[in-house]
Amino acid sequence: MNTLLQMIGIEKSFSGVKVLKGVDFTVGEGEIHGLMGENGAGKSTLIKILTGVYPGNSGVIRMNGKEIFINSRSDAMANGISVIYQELSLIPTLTVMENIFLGQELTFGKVFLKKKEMHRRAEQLIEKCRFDIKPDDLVETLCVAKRQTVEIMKSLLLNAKLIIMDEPTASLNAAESENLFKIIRNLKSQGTSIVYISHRLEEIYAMVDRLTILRDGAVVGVLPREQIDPVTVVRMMIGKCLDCAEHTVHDAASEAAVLEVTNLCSETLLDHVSFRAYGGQILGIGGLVGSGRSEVLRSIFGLDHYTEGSIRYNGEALPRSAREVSRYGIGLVPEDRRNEGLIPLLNIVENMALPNYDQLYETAFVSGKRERQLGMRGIESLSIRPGDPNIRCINLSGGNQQKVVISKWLQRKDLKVLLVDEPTAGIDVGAKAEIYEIMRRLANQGCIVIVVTSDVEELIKIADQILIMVDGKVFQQMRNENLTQDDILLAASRIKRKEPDHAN
Amino acid sequence: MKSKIDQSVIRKLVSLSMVVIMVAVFSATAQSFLTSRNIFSVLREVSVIGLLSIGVTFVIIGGGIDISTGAIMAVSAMICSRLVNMTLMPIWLIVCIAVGAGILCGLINGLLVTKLKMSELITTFATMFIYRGIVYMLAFRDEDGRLITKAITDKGFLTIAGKWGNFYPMTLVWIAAVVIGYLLLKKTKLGTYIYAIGTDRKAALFSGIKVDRIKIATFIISGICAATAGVLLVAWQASVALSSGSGMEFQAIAAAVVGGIALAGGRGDTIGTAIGSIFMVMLINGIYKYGLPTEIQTITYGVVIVIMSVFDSIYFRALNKRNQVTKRAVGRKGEAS
Repeated sequence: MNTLLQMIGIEKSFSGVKVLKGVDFTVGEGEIHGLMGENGAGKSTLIKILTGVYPGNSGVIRMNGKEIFINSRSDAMANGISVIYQELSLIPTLTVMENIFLGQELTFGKVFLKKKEMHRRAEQLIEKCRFDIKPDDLVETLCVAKRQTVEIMKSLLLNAKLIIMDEPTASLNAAESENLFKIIRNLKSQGTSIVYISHRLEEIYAMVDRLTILRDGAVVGVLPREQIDPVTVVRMMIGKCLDCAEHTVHDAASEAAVLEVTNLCSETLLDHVSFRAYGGQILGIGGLVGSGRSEVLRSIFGLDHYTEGSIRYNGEALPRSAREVSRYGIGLVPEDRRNEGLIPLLNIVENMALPNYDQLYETAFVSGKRERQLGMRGIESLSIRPGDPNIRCINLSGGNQQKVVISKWLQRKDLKVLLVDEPTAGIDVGAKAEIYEIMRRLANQGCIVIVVTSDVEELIKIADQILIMVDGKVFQQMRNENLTQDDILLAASRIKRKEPDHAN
Repeated sequence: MKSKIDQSVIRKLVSLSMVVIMVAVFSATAQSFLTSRNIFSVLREVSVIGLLSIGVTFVIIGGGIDISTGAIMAVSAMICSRLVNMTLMPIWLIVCIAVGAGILCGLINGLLVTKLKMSELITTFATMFIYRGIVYMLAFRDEDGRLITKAITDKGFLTIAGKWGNFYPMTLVWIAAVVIGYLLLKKTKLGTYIYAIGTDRKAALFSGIKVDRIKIATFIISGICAATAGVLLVAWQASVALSSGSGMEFQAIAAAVVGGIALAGGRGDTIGTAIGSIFMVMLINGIYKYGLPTEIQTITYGVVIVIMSVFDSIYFRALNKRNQVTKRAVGRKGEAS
């Protein structure tokens, strides 16, 4: 196999912190090359250097043995390197054809479009790739999987020799993923190289020819296909052996509070979801993105409308508006913390005070002193850094932002239920451990904690009860005892055997 | 082969059938509505508002807004009035200068928005006052410095707004603008790019589109349309009031909204805007024929805008219901990574 891409000794620092420490990365012609590593290991930085988003501090990039310099996206494109983003570079209001040719239209005299010619070329390309779309389809009417194929065609039209796919299956269902794999193999057979970034071990085993594993900004191993096995990969990624024995399951006391969700249905997704969560326990909800996990939390919190079913706390039906639910003592820590969790331009104190103003009144006005006390209490109890209450939340790190979001609910004296969506996405390891501890402490105080997470390891680590959702239904509920990651993954993807041709 | 009719076609049929129903109602109940004289005079009025509306359509599709169009129109009209009264320039040159002023105004809007990164609303809000100030500067004054209006007597210039039988040929200028605008949007690279930047600026940037240039182009097109409308207006009315065109920028936006141009950008075309313009002008005309007071006209305007916006949001939501779940999932994923 000829070498297509060679990256040698790539280094990169952000404000003095080394994120990449001399990474070597090679991809062969027509190779599917996996790239794995924990969050923050440097995968995306490496890719961004390769695609011209960041300049590298030092190191050499070669294509076909010739040194190239990539300073912008168009440099990357000109060298045949392209990235498939989830949907970033598609324009939903335009047709498939217009999207494929966007920025590289065929024209008469630089002004008028050669629509017929473009249409013909688009059709050829679709046929060659055996995609199930038409050039005149509006992109906004396509499902995510088909949008991805449009992205792929866009790259192919640019004569991309190397296509980088960053978590391409994150929002696809099993059948759609299967289809994508076929497309990827087809691309490979036509000589295109693929860099495949994924957190899903089983995809990596199934797909890649070679696998490069990053840890803390350095390559810890390049494994050929035969040597890829789960234990080795996980060990290399984490840098230590997994210890799953230390987890103890907390059982709910008989008099514990109970949140009971019965036959919850929503117009678009949820399908008779029923479960119980008990005080003193952490209930983890797993499953793939789009399986309805977040919707369950949003419904409980009164944000999403549900058409059928009931949600009761100790037998009492919950109100259906977020304001009343939060007054009732239920808090939501949303996944998108920057847009939904906090107001970035307000400072720490103001953010914490937001859901608690009912407790901060003194006569007719809000007491600034109490507001400040509340903020300081929050900062101290969760050791938010920097501990300056006047700092704007936009300037905090992800971990500390998350602590602010959690903390604003902890300030409610009557907190009964905390709903947490992806508690540690984009958060560093240290803060992760602290957040786990906070949630456990809360549960020990008798609160009900419900956590939605895509991180299987996290799910096993923190949850007492595990609920797996598939396609808007509860697929399985398990007590977290002697469970392994395989058990969870199996449950989350059992759909494969159940619905083999669920293409759309 | 398309199996289903394009949603934009359906949307146009909706506004078109509104026009038809309105015509039917008015011609059955109001006297002298469905006469060729009245219809042609409605079309004359449409051509001025309609031109503003075509211009602002480009800006809106490109994801912006332009509320300086009324003022640009007045600048152009005032320039014509000045030059016709005080020089012996040929008419074509005067028209070119007026339209040139429109291009300049649009360019200034575009540069402020792209280079100084100001919001479209604030920019054109500010330039609306600036351009209006220029109208005052150019206005005629008597010996004591008081502002006066001066009528144009030049026959040659006034033929721009002449008459062929009952038909006013200036309507053709508007029709030409609709057609050229449509071709520009649908058949050229620029058109595709305007939709692209209006739908998703970042994605357009990632596709190698020079977003700023396209944005400036939309403002220039709006300036050209507004200036052309100014030429027609001054030829029609033979004089320029200092306040002429003020308020029309909003009527123009309203016509675009009724015609299915989404204020969020990326949707609609000039045919829709044309239908919207006809609807709005006819509505006012019909109400006038009933002899109802001005306040009713104004209120009706507002009510129609509300109804059409609500209609669009409901219609659009229904259309996309199927895609919504997956879309949201993607959005989430984007935020998490």
